[in-house]
Amino acid sequence: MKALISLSALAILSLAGEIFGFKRQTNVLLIIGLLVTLVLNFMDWNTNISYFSNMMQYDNFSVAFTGAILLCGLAVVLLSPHFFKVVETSESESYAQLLFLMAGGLLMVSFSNLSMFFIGIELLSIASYILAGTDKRNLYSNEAALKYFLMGAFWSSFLLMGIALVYAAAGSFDLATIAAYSTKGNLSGYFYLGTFFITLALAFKVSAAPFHFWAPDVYDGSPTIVTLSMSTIVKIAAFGAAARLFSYALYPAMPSMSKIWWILTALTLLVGSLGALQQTSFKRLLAYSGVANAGYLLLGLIAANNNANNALLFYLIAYSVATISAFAVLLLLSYKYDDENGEHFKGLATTSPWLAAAVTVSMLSLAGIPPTAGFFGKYYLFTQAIAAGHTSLVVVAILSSIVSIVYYFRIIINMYIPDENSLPTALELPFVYKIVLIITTITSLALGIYPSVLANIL
Amino acid sequence: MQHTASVLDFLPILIQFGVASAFVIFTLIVISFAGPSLKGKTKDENFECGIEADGNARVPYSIKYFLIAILFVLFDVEVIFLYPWAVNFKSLGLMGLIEMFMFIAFFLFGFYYIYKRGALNWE
Repeated sequence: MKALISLSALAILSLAGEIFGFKRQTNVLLIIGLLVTLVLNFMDWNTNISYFSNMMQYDNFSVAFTGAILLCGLAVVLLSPHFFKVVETSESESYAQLLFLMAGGLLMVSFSNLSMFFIGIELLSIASYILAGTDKRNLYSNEAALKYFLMGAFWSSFLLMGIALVYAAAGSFDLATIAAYSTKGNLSGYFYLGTFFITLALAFKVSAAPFHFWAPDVYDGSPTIVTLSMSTIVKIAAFGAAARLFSYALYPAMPSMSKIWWILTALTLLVGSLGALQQTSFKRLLAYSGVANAGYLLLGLIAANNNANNALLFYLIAYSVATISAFAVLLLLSYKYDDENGEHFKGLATTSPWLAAAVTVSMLSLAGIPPTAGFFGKYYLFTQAIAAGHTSLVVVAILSSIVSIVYYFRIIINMYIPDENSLPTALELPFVYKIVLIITTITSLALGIYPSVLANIL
Repeated sequence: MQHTASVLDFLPILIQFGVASAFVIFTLIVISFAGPSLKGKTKDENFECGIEADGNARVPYSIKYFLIAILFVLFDVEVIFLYPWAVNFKSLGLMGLIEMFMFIAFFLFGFYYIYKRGALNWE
């Protein structure tokens, strides 16, 4: 709760920076503010308090997911200043949008009432529609914003309908009351229909196939820094919300929906891995890799219990950390070349060996090769899915990760083959980028060697 | 006793829908029989406060109108929250007063913000 208040105050502070003339200092203020917010957040560990007549509940689940969202937000803020030198837009307004997006994410991982869940998802979505169109003069950015907005508004209506139907069955928005109703047995058809609609709307939000068509276009069209926040913060928030909703309230509906989950997960894995194979743009490749990773994460939702939530958190952190370092290098390259083509990675190792090493660790982690965090993330998720009796899905997931090795390794091989067009001089590496890359690379390796630090925290 | 929701609870809404649409259909049918039917250039023209229509209605007009309209809706909706506070003023007490003052401070800040950013500037 303290974290949410402090984050909202920071958002208003950065708006105030715009009109009271301390725009230049916003970035530094936000970095300090987010660090304070992180400390405030972890002070709530092991407290489990509910607020506002049980509208929100801060338990260890929400503190852990909030921490992950805040850390990703901090990385985005650290990597931002260079973006605003290139793109003509209001810097502090974009920061405010980012912080409101994170505030929505915080609500989504700490709600205990479906109305708060809806407010959270809308706050997050509306901010991300605007952020997608930050590059106002760029036609692709406009297209991304419009496409995301129209699709998002359409699926929001499904979510609302689903919530209304669950309310019609259980007679309450409260998660505990819904759980009490649904464990009693003899559920009405409304409950299943409502759960089905909510599942579809969340599948859209996490870009699961067959609702993934917006993802490559929106990820590609948005400015790279916004794509980074969409593929880390939004993903953590959406999966956190889904895990909370299903494991706290809707789990009795899961067994009868197992066929739908099977199709959703298997299709997402296949579409993500096969789609990524054909991409030449690195940004589009990461978009499809995001779809494939949503497939692995869906495995963690099916079991809908605390252990599965922990596995989900581990994988989300592993994925976000790897994505942040991949995007940081992509940002550096895109400032140099003005586009996001994967070709620019060719021969990177000859001029910037450390950058190439960071990308290698990140790609290995995304592909799930030990000793990186991605390997244990996948291992925990697969274990949970098998425990829930979905062995056939795990087989599909393993096949999909074998396919994914092809496109992740293509990037690595490209970097280490000397190229006649390779860069004459090393890339200029700003200090903040160095810090972020060092931290993400070390985290990726550390979680791969000592996975037990995060394996049993929930 | 706990009341369990069922479809029958929504029956009055269905009746309301029926009555509303029946009234419209009934009026339209009665008018087509009862009223005189005249046709002509002056008769078929759009009625616009008695002023003669000039040119096409589909002309592009300034985006500033939309900005003002959006801002109006925003502040209008925020003001709605003052009504439940007024109704429950006594029971909410001092805490409610402080919370509402905070809310009003936030939206006054929003107003000052759009003013400083030049959203209300017409030129």
